[in-house]
Amino acid sequence: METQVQEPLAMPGVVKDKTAAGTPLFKADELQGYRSRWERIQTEFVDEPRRSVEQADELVASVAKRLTDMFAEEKNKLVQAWDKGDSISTEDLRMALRRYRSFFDRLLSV
Amino acid sequence: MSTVEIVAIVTAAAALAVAVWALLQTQKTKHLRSKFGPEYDHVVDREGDRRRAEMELAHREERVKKLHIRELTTHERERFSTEWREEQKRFVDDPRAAVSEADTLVTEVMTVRGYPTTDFNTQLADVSVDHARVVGNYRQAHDIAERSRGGQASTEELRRAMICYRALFEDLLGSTVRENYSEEVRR
Repeated sequence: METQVQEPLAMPGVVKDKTAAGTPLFKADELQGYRSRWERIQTEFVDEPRRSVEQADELVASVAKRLTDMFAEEKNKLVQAWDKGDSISTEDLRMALRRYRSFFDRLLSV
Repeated sequence: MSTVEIVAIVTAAAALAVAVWALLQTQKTKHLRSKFGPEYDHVVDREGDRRRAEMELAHREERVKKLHIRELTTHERERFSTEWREEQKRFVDDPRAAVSEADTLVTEVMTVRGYPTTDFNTQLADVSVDHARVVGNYRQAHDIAERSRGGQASTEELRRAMICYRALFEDLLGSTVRENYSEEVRR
């Protein structure tokens, strides 16, 4: 038998820490692109629920991959600089840590 | 003229009258069947009597003819399409509210086009005159919406109600609500 309607879910990804929220992980147009894709998926659920969920899975996977790629790239840059013995500015390190924290907070808020 | 001749003429006239009457009835049936499609059969089943059903349907036609039903403007069509898409999206978070809003939206379109807001059955009857093919969907959707109020409808039924409401909605709008991008999502 079909499940009855559940209570509406709260919106995910709401970050309470103001400082973390101020560090965007994606550029504005990339973010907009992801959101548009999500909107279409959500709108299409009524017509094809299963396909909708499959596409949501793909979208979430590609966002997650993009994020991990971004952090891998970031980490590579840092490691390369350290290996070369270059000094990375404290400011660059500060920004890097804020980006890590932004991601970290979002993961924990799930 | 002899009595026999008079009787013959009167009989022939009567026979002709009957034939004409029968022809008109057949044409009437044909017209109503063609105009109302599946709704014709539905009303005949419900009334259990073809003559009574045809009277009811003819009465509907007359009633709607007197109304001033107009087409939507482009702006109105866009506004309604946008609102519909919002309801489709909302379905994911609150299916019952989405179905309830869809019902309201459909009634709003009808009102804007010139149908009087009365009770569901009268509205359905009115709209069946020009939208007979989708009126069965309206009936189905409304049934589900009623049961949803009692918490009796599954999510799958609510989903089907949305699709049914949309069929009528699009017919009233005279256009589909899905943008071209929905084709991309499918690939």
